[in-house]
Amino acid sequence: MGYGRYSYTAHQQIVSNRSTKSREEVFKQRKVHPLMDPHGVKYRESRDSADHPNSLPIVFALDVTGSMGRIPELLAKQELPEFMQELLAAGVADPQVLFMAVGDAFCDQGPLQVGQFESTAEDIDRWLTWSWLESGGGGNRGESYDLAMYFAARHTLTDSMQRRKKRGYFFMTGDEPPFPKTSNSIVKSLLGTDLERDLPLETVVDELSCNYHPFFLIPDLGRRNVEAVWRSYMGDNVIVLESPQDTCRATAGLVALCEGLVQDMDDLAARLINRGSNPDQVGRIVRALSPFAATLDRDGSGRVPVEVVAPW
Amino acid sequence: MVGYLITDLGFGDSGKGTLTDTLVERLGAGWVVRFNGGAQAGHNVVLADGRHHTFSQFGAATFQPGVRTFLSRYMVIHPGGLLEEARALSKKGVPDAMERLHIDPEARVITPFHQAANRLREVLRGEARHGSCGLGVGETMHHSLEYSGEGVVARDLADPSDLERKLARIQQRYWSEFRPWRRELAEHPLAKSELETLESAEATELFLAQALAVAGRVGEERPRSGVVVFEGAQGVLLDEWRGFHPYTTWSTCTFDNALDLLSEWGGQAVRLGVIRSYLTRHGAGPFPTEDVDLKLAEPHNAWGPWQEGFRRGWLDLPLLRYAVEACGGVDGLAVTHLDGCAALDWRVATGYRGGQEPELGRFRDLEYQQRLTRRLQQTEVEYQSVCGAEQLLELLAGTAPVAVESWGPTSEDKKVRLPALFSRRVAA
Repeated sequence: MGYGRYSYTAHQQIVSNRSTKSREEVFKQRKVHPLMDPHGVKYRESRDSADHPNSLPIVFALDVTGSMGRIPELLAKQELPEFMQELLAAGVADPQVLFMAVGDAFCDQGPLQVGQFESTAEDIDRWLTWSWLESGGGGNRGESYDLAMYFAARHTLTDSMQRRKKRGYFFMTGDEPPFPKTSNSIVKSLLGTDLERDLPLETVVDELSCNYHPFFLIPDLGRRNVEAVWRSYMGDNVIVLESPQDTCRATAGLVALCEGLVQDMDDLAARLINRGSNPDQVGRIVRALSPFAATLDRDGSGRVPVEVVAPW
Repeated sequence: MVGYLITDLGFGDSGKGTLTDTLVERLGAGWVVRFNGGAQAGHNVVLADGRHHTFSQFGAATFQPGVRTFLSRYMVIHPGGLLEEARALSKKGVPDAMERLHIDPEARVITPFHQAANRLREVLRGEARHGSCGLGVGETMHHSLEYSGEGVVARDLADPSDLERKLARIQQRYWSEFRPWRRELAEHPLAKSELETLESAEATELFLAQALAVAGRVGEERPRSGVVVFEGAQGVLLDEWRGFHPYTTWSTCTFDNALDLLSEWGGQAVRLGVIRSYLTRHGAGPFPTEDVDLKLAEPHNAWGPWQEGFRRGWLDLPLLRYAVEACGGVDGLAVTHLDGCAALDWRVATGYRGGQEPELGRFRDLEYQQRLTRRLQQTEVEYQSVCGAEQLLELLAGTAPVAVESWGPTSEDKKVRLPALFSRRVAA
């Protein structure tokens, strides 16, 4: 999938028309949209085309339980165009975005919803807003993050990987721990695939990492209580944001860093400032991404701190 | 059991409905069996009291009290269409049509997505349209053959949660298939609403409600004895293998399906082929005797937006002989619309110039069928003038014995010319 060209203006138009609308008006689904039901799906495909010769698959798996529904709402009402603009500005020419919505298979009706890889503003936005914000999740400690990772690991095919041996990106938002294994009985009933036995989460993360750079994003500092358990599975690829508002610019920054399209955190910060991000936000993003950037040796340490991060 | 098998030897619309109704009445048949096609059938029946119905999925003898309909596994059923048709019949004084309907659990079912896909395909074909009715019968057949196990059959209708899953798969498959053309389809006046169906979150719910409403009619009940009329749909010249490829239908229009059922059930067959005193065709495809100046009243054959217009031409004996051979012979002909050919200057095609008459090829050789199509599109027809219906009937008798004559729309207008053929009723 992935047809047509992206237009920032068209995307801005879509989101600004919604700025005064309620969450319920933007996200109209009250059950899983049949096109997002993962049952029986063999593969979601990210393919090159004449318009997109270098497709780069980017998966957003958004936690839609409880208060986490705030992130899809932010994306639909203001932030998603910024993600695309940041990527394009950094030189990622052909991003293809797939949305998943993640809930809790033990108590939700739609614990996994899966869109398609898309390239244009309208198409990307359609899957985001077709997602059902079930706002479930229950008393148990955990959400079915493993299912989203499992799906991306085994049920997506990308030209990026198949033709260029190049990994895509997998960003998952959440504020609960993962379940330690992917249950075969849940996969069987939800996806219609028989795994024959449960899969340990380590295996799922390993498989996911073969095809994607995986990241887990904690939306703010108040929810760091899940950081340790996530680090035990994903190590440095756990990113603690300071505000859910930063999801798009932070994830775009991560792509740019990993792709080597920005030199380091200073470079990234300067670019953000140049495109009009406010210094507060730039500071938050720099702090959130620096620990990971350090692992790439792109955190800017060893250089004289640049003025943009100085004011506070 | 004796089965009277009715098939159309033309391109459809020859009058199978009225013949079915007449035979059921005259033979005292208890059942009508549908053995091909689906909801695209439009079989007109006019009663002497002026009531009229275009039968689509219910057997064309449903006006007669107590007569039951069996939709066999060769039928493609449309649940919404069944409910609508039952409502329409109820308004016409037949309140119990649904209770007299029985559906084979293996009958295939059209979903809203098959229908939408069929229409989108026609739009994308542009000038090369096949003349589909736009109901999705062919699409449903094609899909169930291509992806066995994925299609919906009547037995699935009673299990909403399983059915919902199946529908989601079908919807996703078609959505992905048409995805590359999404933008152009969204701007096409005929395609827009079909695309909306493929992207709809509600189409499934509506369908599930319709499915549940007809699920109770699915079961093991079927004809077991007595006289049964097998009401064919469409026409032999549209048959998937014997028709003129690609202007065909995804359906077996010969007697084959009916003969299969009869042999399973243990019955004898009487095979009747229906033709009009002239020839008609809905939609695109070869039609050597087409004559745009042949204008006759056609009250029940409207233009559908998914088909091109209703076309008329002269009776074509080379095509008739081809059709008779294609369905393995007939025991008798039923000739309808004889009242129409009272007009002066009636003609019948007796041959094609240069001996270009179509001959039966190897079975299931679509390349051969396509060559026939090309030949028919260029053929020059030799006509003979016919003075009145009697002379027409004499000409036809050279092909097969004329068993039934229809001189008007109601059962009273039918004459049975070969009573011997129908004496098998006694044997039943």
